[in-house]
Amino acid sequence: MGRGKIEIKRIENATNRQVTYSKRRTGIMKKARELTVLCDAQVAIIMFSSTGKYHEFCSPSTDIKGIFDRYQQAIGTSLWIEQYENMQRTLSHLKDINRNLRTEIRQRMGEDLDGLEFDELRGLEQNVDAALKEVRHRKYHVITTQTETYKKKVKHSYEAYETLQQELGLREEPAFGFVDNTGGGWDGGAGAGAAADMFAFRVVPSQPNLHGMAYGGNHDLRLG
Amino acid sequence: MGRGKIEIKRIENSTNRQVTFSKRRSGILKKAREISVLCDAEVGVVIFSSAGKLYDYCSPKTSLSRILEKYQTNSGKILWDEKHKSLSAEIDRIKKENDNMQIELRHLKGEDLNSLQPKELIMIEEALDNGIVNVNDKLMDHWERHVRTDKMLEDENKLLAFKLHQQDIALSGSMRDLELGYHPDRDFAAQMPITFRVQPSHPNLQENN
Repeated sequence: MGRGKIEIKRIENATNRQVTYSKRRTGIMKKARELTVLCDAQVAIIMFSSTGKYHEFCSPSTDIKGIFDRYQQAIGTSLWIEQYENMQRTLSHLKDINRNLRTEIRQRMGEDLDGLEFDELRGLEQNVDAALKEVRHRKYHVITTQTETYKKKVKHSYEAYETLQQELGLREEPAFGFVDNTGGGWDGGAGAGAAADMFAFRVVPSQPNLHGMAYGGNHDLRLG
Repeated sequence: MGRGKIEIKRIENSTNRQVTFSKRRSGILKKAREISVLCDAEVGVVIFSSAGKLYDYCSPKTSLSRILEKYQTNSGKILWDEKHKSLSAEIDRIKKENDNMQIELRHLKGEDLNSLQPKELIMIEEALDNGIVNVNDKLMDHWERHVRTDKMLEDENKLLAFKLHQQDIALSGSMRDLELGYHPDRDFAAQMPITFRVQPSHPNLQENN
């Protein structure tokens, strides 16, 4: 075994300590397995290195919990008593906090006030009043911000609407131009007075809507 | 070490098995102790013989309980019994509830409001409004109680003052009766004592005035 005896005391060098731990850990686990096989023993080993990493061995015929349950039966006590008591203290402390929080919340909502003295009620009123101011201030700020955002959206939508309206208006121009062109053509083909008269007559029975526009066009021509 | 290799399989002879168990058990426990000392390791070992006898070792700087607790935390395996499980669940539940109430309370104090929507803010506002109304009602109750107490004390003071006044009147009346009582006597010899008696009475009456 090894190369010379070593003193059984803490290995100061961290690297050597780690290597020794690793080697010896493997050796112990091997011997535990052998004991299980050779002698029908039940063995449980849990190791934590100085760095906090853990390793375990447990005989295949059982599991860690089984062995430690059996262990507790054998020694006639629970390994968890201390922890259980700690947990109970923790729970008790948390319940105190819970009760205090609940009371404070209820009092700020105007409940559970019977136990309070006049001065305490005055203090509570001032606290709730201050909180109410903060909440209202924040509420107005949020609503105002959202309102302005929506106003901008509406404005943008309206601008888009107007743009679309203008584009739609531009498409109606060619019809007007057509009428104008027709008039021009007609005008070129006949005398001025006779042409105007015939034009007006022709438009009335066939295109009542265009009549107004034609009149407008005619008016423009006269002005020109 | 040993006298020849042995096959790693169950030793059939029960006597040999027991002897081997005893030797090897000691060896394992010794090595557990050595690794604890050499490497600052925390080691827990529990060994049951096939006959059910218990042997164990635990590093001196810790306890088997603490090793198991760490093991449970690190491995995620549950070793403790049902009542610990339910106690642990209860602790987790109340811890979570406390965290939620802490947040709610901060909102009711007008703090940490930045993440809240108008709807939530309106609900908090209404709760606080209700709170103010109820607190003011309670303050009014206190005030009315004080007013009633004050009135009762005032009435009692008046009663006591009245009784005191009556006692004063009764005392004055006694003095007059005394004076009148002696006046009808016309015996000359008696007149002398009367005159004498009245002289000290007058200063007393003056004092009363």
